[in-house]
This record gives sequence, C-alpha cells and structure tokens, in this order.
Amino acid sequence: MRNTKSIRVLLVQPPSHDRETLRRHLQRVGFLTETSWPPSPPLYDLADVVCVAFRAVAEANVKLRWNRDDPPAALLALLDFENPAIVREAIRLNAHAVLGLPVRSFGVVANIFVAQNNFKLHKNLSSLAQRLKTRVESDKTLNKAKQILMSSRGMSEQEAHKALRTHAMNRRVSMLEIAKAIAGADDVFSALEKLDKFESSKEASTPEGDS
Amino acid sequence: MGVHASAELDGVENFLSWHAARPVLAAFISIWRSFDNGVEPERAKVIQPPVFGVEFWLCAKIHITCMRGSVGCSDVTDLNDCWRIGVLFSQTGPTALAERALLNGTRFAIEEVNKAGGVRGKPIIAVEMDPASDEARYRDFSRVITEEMGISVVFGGYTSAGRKAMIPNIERTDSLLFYPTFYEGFEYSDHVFYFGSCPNQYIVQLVDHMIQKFGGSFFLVGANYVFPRESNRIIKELLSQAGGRVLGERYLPLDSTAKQAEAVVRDIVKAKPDVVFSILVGDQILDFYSAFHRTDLRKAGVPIASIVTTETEIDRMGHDIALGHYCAASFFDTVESSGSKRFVDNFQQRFGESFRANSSAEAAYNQVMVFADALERCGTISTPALREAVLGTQFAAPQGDIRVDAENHHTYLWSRIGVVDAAGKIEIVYNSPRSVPPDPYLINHDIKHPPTQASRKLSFGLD
Repeated sequence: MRNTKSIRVLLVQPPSHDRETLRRHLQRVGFLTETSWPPSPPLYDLADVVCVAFRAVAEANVKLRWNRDDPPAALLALLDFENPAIVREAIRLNAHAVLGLPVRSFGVVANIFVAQNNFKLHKNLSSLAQRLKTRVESDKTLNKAKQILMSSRGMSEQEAHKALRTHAMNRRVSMLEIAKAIAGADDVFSALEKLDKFESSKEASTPEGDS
Repeated sequence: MGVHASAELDGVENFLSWHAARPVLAAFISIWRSFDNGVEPERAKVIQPPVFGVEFWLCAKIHITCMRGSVGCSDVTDLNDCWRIGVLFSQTGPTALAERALLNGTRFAIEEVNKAGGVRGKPIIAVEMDPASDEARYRDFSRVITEEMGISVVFGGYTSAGRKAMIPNIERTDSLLFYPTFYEGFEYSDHVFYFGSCPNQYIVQLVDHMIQKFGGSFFLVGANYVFPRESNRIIKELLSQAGGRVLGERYLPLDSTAKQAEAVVRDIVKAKPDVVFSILVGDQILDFYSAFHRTDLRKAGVPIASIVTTETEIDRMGHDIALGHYCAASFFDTVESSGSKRFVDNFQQRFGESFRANSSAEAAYNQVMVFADALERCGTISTPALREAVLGTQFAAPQGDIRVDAENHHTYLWSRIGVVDAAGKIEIVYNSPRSVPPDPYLINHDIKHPPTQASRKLSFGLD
C-alpha cells in the first residue's frame, strides 16, 4: 500500500453537503482529492480512483462514458440507495468497491485501497488473458504450418519445427509470420486445386449424356 | 408554568414578526430543555441558545400541537406529564398536498388517543415542523427535533429522498422513525418502522391487473428520483415476463411545469400504448392527468394506472378528469368494512369533504395507533423498550388487520386496486384475500398471469 499522499481521488458527484463531507475526509486522510460535476471523462485518466455517485448520474441524465472493459482508473461506487436500479449500474460498470452515502468516516480508506487493488487485479488478469489468447492463436497457426510441411514434404514434427525456425531466422522475422505465410499459401493452393478439379470434371461430362 | 397551546410562527408572511418570534421560540426551546434535566438523565442536555440560520427561521413553522380532547395541553404544567413526539410532513412545496393527508392522519390519531385519556394517563404532544418538500430541511429538522429538542420518536417522511435525509440523525440520536409512505423497498434500519407498502404489496398487483385488462404495451412516466426509477425497473421486468413491452420511459423533475407535462403527453399520444403507467408525484399529477384528458388517446379509452394517485389528487384534479383511471393502494375510502366506514366517517367529520381519507392518512393514523398501543404496554418511550413493543404488534386498522414484521420492520398490508367512477369515488376491482407479507429485498418479481395462448391473441401493442 502506498502512502495516501500519492493517491489521486476524483469525486464525480454533484456539489452537496454530502460531497463536501466526503471531500474533506479524503483530504484529511491525505488523498489528493478533486471534485468534478458534471462527469468529465478526460479527468478519469488523471486519477487513481474515481468515485461516482450513480444515482445522481442517472437523475441528471448525463453520460459517464466509463470504459468498463479497459477502465482508466479504479472505480468506487457511491451509493445512497441499495435497490437494483442503482446497484446494477455499479455492477454493469464493474465497480471495484462501494461506499454508502451519507458517508461515514470509517470505511473510506479501506475502500479506496480495496478498489485500487481490485483494479490492479482486473488489469493484470485482463492482460494475462490477452497474452494467453494471443499465445493460443499463434500455437494454432504454428501447428497448422507444421502439419502442412509434414504432409506435403514428408517431414517429421521436429524437422518441420526446425525448418520454420531456420527460415524465420534467415529472414529475421518471427516463426509465427512464416507459419502464417505457409498456412496462407496452402489455402490458396487448395482453392486452386478445387477449381482445377471442377474445371476438369466439367470437361469430362458431355452436354447430352448427363443423367 | 403552563405550556402555550400553539406557538405558531410563519416568518415568510411577516418578515418583522420573526425578529420578535425568534427570542420567543428560543425561550420556548430552552424551557423544553430545562425539563430534560433530572427527568431523563441520559438525555439531559446543557441549555444552549439554539444557533439557527436566518433561513431556518424564515421557513420553519413550528407548531406545537396539543389537540382538542380531554387531556389537553392547558392541563400540562410539567413536561413530565406528556409524551413528546416529532412530526415532519411538508405543508408547502410540490408535495404539500400529498403530505397534508399524512399530517391529518397523524393529528387525527393523536386526538383520538388523547380523547380516550392519553397513554397511561398522559397526552401525546406533537412538535410539528414543515420541511417544505425539501430534502435538506428534512435533514435539518430531524436533527433539531432529535438532537436539540431531545425528542426520540418521529413520525415523518413522504418521498424516499426525505426519508433518507432523516435517517442518519434518527440513528445517531438513537431515536425511532415511523415512516408511513409506500416506497421502493431495499431498506432497513433498526430505528425505522415502515408502515407503507413495498413493491410486492402493491406494484405487482396493479401491473398484472392492467396487462390482463388492457394489454401489455405500457408508457412509463414518473418523477425523476429513485422511487419511480426503481419501480419502473420492476414494472419493466414484469412486462417482459408477460410478453409486454415499454414504448417509452420519461422522468419529470418534482417541480415540473404544465408545459413539461404536456410535452410528455404528446410523446405518449404518438406512441399509442395500451396503458399509461404514472409514478408522478405531487402537483405534477394534476398537470399530467389534465393534459392527458384532452387527448384522443384518452377518449379512445387508454387509462392511466398509478401507484401514487389517491382520493386527494382525484378531488383536486376534478372528477371528470379522474374518471376511469386506476389506482393501487392498501386502503381506499370505499373499503366496505365497519372499521373502514367508522374511520372514514370520523375523518370526514374532523377534516371535511375537501380532505378525504386516503391510504396516506390511514397509514399515518395506523402508525400513531400502533405507537400508542406499544407505549401503553411498555410504559416508556425509551428506544429499546419501545422498539421491542412495536415489533410484532397486530392492529385492527381501517384497511383490515395489519402486523409489524419483527424481522424487517415492515408491515403486513392489504393490497387493493380501484378505478375512479363518475362521482370521484374509487370502485374497488381487486382485493387481496388476506394481508400481504412485506418482502422489501425481493429483486425478481413474478407476474401472476404469465402469457397463455389466449392472452397472446390480444394485441400487445403490435402494429
């Protein structure tokens, strides 16, 4: 956990007695606190934790423009009612923690840090998932290329792998690129073959003799 | 020293008078406080001059009500000899008309209790304040009543925003709030009793009835705050279960104008729904119903169904405008039982034709009666004992027998649907067979009549 003085908190909440109480407490604890209303998306990138009063956003009919798939910061939901109409908005945007309104001093610090941690966790898992996905895709392509080499050239798997690697090194490109090229070329050749077969079968059958 | 029957200050009308009134009120509050010392040691407070802003004095209308009856305020020479309660219902602002019914019901109940000799021989004395339909005032006045005046039982609140604003002060001072109004559920506090319906007790029934009778394409219109929004969430879910759909959803601010209501009506006419479902609140109800009345859509028979509109609004908008529209509530003044008739007749005698008994008045009445009954049994106004005595209480209310659920602090209430007739009376078209248990945290409601082959043949807004 970092010192509070290094954490930037943005309060997206209409000016009110409540917001003032929360802002003062965040400052008292040491967070670098800013307020913003109506919501201003460019400011999200400048904060570590963005606190949003969801009910106010809905009632003011303003757009939050929060990217829930790739959030710019941790999202802390400020909720003054617990009914589904409000809570599900927080869930939809993948809030990382919740503070009840009107705010009590107790819980603010804990939730800021939990929100940050959940945000970091989310980010790490996302990028891990992305890396694994890319890895799986490229493995598929590599295997396809190897299969092509093995069946067309009669190579063993090790020989095919070595051929791909050597070729890639010579050309100073990745194995994946060579594999893609091979797979791509193979697709074209199969298509051409099919076309040839079709053409020749047409020639073979006479116009009158069709059954 | 006698306590004056009513120290009424309305600074808005006479600016000069508040200069004079302020020291009087300050003295009054000091007198109240001085009786605290030595009486309830745990609530004794140091006497300090109240520090209120100018705004408070201009807007607060503090009415110390010591109603008519055999045990009256003039008999009270010592504040030991009465039970002090706080009453917070708006007398001004957009929801004043609706909250008047709550205030009348409250006063009616207090008078009835005091007429019968009070509770354990002592009268109930109410300190009333007008939060003027304003959330901030609900918050401030709840603090004044509980903290400054040391009163630990409050009857108050109409909108969810108002209720929410009072609760922190109620909880902080270990007081009890009796909240009489139907709302959107999803709330609980150790310090609050909820005497109004939560969604499973009134919304589901009305939606189901309207779909069955008119069809499943709805246009939703409501006031712009949490209660209509959450209620609409439930309505949309019920509609999708029933194979219906929402043609539009509009929200108007509580202080909306007639023009804004007309604009929504224009959208509704274009959309041609089977049913207009209104969760408008306060004065905007009159604007909207009037504007809708003039449309061809209305003449074609499309009704407004509302969970908010009561006898009070019906009388104000005019019976011709209200004719044929639907309401849902736990009580209507047309409920045919001896208990209901007695209540309605006495209420009319007390308040006249212009303030008919409605579900708000009845709920406000019920909660004071339950409080008085609990107080009689436990003999003390201290919160833990009183709370214990209130929970689980059964009461023969005008609507029928009701019971306070000890687990969730809500009330078993009856569920009724009615349609307005030509005389402005609500003809009851549905009566729940028994009181409905409150389920305030229910998220997914089930429509009673899922679509069958036969019902699918109806035009569900398909064009």
